[in-house]
Amino acid sequence: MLFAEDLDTPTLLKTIDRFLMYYIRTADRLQRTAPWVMDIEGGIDAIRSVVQDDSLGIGADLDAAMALHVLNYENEWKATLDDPEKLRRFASFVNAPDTADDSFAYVSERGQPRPATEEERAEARRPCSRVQIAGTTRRYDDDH
Amino acid sequence: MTIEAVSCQALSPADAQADLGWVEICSIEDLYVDRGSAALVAGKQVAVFRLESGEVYGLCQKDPYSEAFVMSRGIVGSRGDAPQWRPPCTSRSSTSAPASVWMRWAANHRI
Repeated sequence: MLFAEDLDTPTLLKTIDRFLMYYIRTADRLQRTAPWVMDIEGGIDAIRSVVQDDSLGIGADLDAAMALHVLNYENEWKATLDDPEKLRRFASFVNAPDTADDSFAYVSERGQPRPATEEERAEARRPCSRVQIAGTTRRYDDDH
Repeated sequence: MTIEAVSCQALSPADAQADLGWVEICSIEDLYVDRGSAALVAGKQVAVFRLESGEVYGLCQKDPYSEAFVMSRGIVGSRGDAPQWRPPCTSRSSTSAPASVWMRWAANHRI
């Protein structure tokens, strides 16, 4: 069942925003949108009248809630990358932040990396060894 | 005296014989309280722990059971007043280590 059609872009965004905010306000914890739509009294028609016709008179409230959310949105990954103190926690060594941990060892299996076994590590240390071993930065092609 | 710098001495019996002397690792402020950090000393990985008391302990970073370099990710705690530490890679509940088996490192004044 189609919720709406032939909307211009501002109306489309407003419709999506109100739908999502109404869902966030009224859905159960971890409830997905489809079961939520079925649970709402009147189903999708009732939701459509709330979102498009503002039948409950909460349209402005939903718009304001979404505007506030957009205003306060922060990408946590980007915020971490921009914060030297948080970024410091991802360094391998407290006294050598630019040095990678070289204890990781992987071998290529069907073109994909997997951790090397003890035997493979030992074999790789022997001269003329055919076992190739690599850290975390190598591409894992079956090219050897 | 404010403690500012963390230094370590011997890393293993072999290193003890080689006598590295005291090697400065980092500022005490670089370590998180009751957390472990990994450090590189003379090319070897060590785990450094700063306790709330201000004491600093160290271990070899390599877990002898799993052979992974993860000891700094162990859990710091206490039993009574004695600081305790538990490795990250084992479910054995009896493997918590009393402070006596840790290597206690100096947190000494920066020169």
